[in-house]
Amino acid sequence: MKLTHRNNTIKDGDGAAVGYRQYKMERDRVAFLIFVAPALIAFILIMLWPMINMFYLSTMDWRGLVKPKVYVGLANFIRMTRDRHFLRALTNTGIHTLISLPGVILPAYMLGFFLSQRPRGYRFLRLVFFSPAMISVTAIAMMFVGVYLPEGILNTVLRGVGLGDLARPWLGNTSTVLYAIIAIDFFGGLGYYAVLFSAALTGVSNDLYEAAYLDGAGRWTVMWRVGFPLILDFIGVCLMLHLIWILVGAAQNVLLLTQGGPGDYSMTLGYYLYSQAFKSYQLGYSQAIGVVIFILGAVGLLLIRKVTQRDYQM
Amino acid sequence: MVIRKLTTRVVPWLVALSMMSVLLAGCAAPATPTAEPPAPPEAPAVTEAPPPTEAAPPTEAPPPVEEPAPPEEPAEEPVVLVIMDNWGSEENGKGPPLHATFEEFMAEYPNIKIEEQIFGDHEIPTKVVTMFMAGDEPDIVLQNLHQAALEWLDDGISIDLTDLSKEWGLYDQLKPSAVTEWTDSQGRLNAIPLEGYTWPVWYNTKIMDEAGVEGIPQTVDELIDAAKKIRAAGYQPFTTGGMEWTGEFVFFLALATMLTDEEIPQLYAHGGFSENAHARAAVEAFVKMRDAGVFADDVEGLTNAAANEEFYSEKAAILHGGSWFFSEAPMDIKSHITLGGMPLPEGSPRSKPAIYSSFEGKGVWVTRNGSKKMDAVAKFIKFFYQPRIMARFVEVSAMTSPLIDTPVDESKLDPLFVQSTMLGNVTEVALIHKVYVPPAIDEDLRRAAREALVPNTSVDTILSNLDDVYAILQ
Repeated sequence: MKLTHRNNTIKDGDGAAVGYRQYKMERDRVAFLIFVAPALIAFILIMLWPMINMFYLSTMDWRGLVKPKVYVGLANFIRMTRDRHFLRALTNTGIHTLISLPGVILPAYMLGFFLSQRPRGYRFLRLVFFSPAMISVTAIAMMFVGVYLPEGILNTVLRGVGLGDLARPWLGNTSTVLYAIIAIDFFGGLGYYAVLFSAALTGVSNDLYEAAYLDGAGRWTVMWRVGFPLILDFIGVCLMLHLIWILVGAAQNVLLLTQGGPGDYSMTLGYYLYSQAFKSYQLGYSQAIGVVIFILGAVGLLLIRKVTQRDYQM
Repeated sequence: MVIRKLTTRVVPWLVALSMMSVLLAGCAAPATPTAEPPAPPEAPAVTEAPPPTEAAPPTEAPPPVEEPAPPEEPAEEPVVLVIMDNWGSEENGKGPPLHATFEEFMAEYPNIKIEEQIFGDHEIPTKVVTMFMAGDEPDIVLQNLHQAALEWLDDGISIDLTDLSKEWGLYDQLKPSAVTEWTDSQGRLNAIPLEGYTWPVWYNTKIMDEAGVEGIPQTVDELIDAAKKIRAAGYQPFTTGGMEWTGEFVFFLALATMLTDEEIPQLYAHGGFSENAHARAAVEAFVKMRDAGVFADDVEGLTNAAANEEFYSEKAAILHGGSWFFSEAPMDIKSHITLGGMPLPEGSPRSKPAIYSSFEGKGVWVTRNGSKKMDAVAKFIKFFYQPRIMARFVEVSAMTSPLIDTPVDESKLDPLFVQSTMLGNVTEVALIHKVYVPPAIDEDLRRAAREALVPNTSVDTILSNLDDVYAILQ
């Protein structure tokens, strides 16, 4: 594999031959776009409409699907600034992101690297790692109810090993409930991303690892200084997917386990959006929350892209 | 070059952002049922038993309800009657009698076919509204009188049944209190009341005797004293699902011990708990009970099922459980369960411990689509409300019949159901608040109530949490 710096454009001569080659490349790209255009247009139309609709509805006071919509401008956004449930949800989502994003992705990468080294029984391990991804969110949530109950598995284990003082009602305790929910991400995400990273790492030539080992690098160094940068783009994609899960998808766990409680201690933006739309029938307000999530997501994706962008090509 | 940049940079961005926007917008776009996250565990199963104040005695004379009309002539146009309910599910005890009733009805009226749609009662409001928007709502809905359903009449989803129920000869056969509950402030009958329930406090007298507790606690101080003795005997006192709806209703019932029936509608419709002296006193009493260890250990982390199991397995002595739980309680503990009410704090305006008892459990709603098939709807409702049909539900699931006269086979009744019919002597029924809670704040109010069970939540915090919920109504 040859690494070529992106800015080092090859200039190997002038004349008609080069001109023709450039023309051909441009022509191929145009042809490519023409071929994908129908799918792309359909995709944008289908996806763009809900996005525009979300922004439009966020300016409405709309209290039920069969109720009239009243234009209120930015009132929904102003309301957020003094809505303590929203502010709590915003804070909780921030905490969730800060813990879960690096907490899941980095260990998952390490597991993925381990798997990519094809240790004994790696096929079985791959299956074990991936199995949580094949369990429905509902089943996982129900399983964790059993784990977190006052007489649940976690407290039983703690008492069994003499750490009974640490036992508590994990989902009913205001200081542990959010972290109990975040911990579910680790169960569902670690193995899933590990298998994805392992697949990505199998595309890396062994020559690179061997060269590094010959230069005296240990496994740790090879993992972080060779493998990691080589699949940085892919790690970025996984970070983006996980961020979207935290902002939107993880609301399912909150819904199934605590419904934002006790009080609003486990409220997240995704669940608050759902709750406002389907339980409180505040559809305009829920869409304003959606806009905030959208903006936070866009900024987050931009940052991830910036951080994980490589300045070279393989 | 520009095109290359477009394909490699802009397109992935568009895709990622668009996907996220679709996920978000899915939560409110008009046709949203598919975007709904998985359903929550169990919704408040409001299905149940007899109100103590006027529960029909188990053995009553057969009622004079109008007999169903004779079968239609076969030449009549076939009609499909779509009925949405949550009774038909396998785990619901009312499913078999409901389906038997449907079969009997279709046999009697061969030109009318019943098509049943079964959903959880927490799903039904959304289903009905979205189907209404598509012009495809069911003709008849069996649903509680709370949350979004409170606005169905105003929204044109359902129709006023006052005159129709009189025309069908049904109005006068219904218990007046049931009709009152289902009649709105404008005198419209939201739906025909179907299911009543009692929601008392269960006391395990075997445990209480063992702990040296004499009698059923009548006051908060007696309850605190009993809890100490129960704990000393190695049992948990008062258990409830602090993470779920049963926990909320323990708090609301405790609140009702200090509120008058005039205050409850006003407070729950508009808020103002902090300024209400009775509400403050009730919350103070509740916090006093909580801090004195009246509730089971870690109660704030218990689910409904875990709390019930704690009580059924006789690890806890007290439970606040609706009559819909009568049939699921183990038979061997029923003999030493005494039903009672929530003990009263000092200064309570009530004379006896409080319980809930209501007919808001379920009603038969007729929708806009149903009104277009009124002949078939009328036939079904008249058939369904025959006393012998209602008696099935009373016998099978301890439901309180909405009819003044319902002949039941006493030998088939659950012993707790029978006991609950005599609660009027020892308890006082408090108005159930949820009929007055505006749908927009129902969920937030429940969440605020659950927080009251969390240790160290102060009286002021609880009251301000309750009042904050009402801010969005301004």
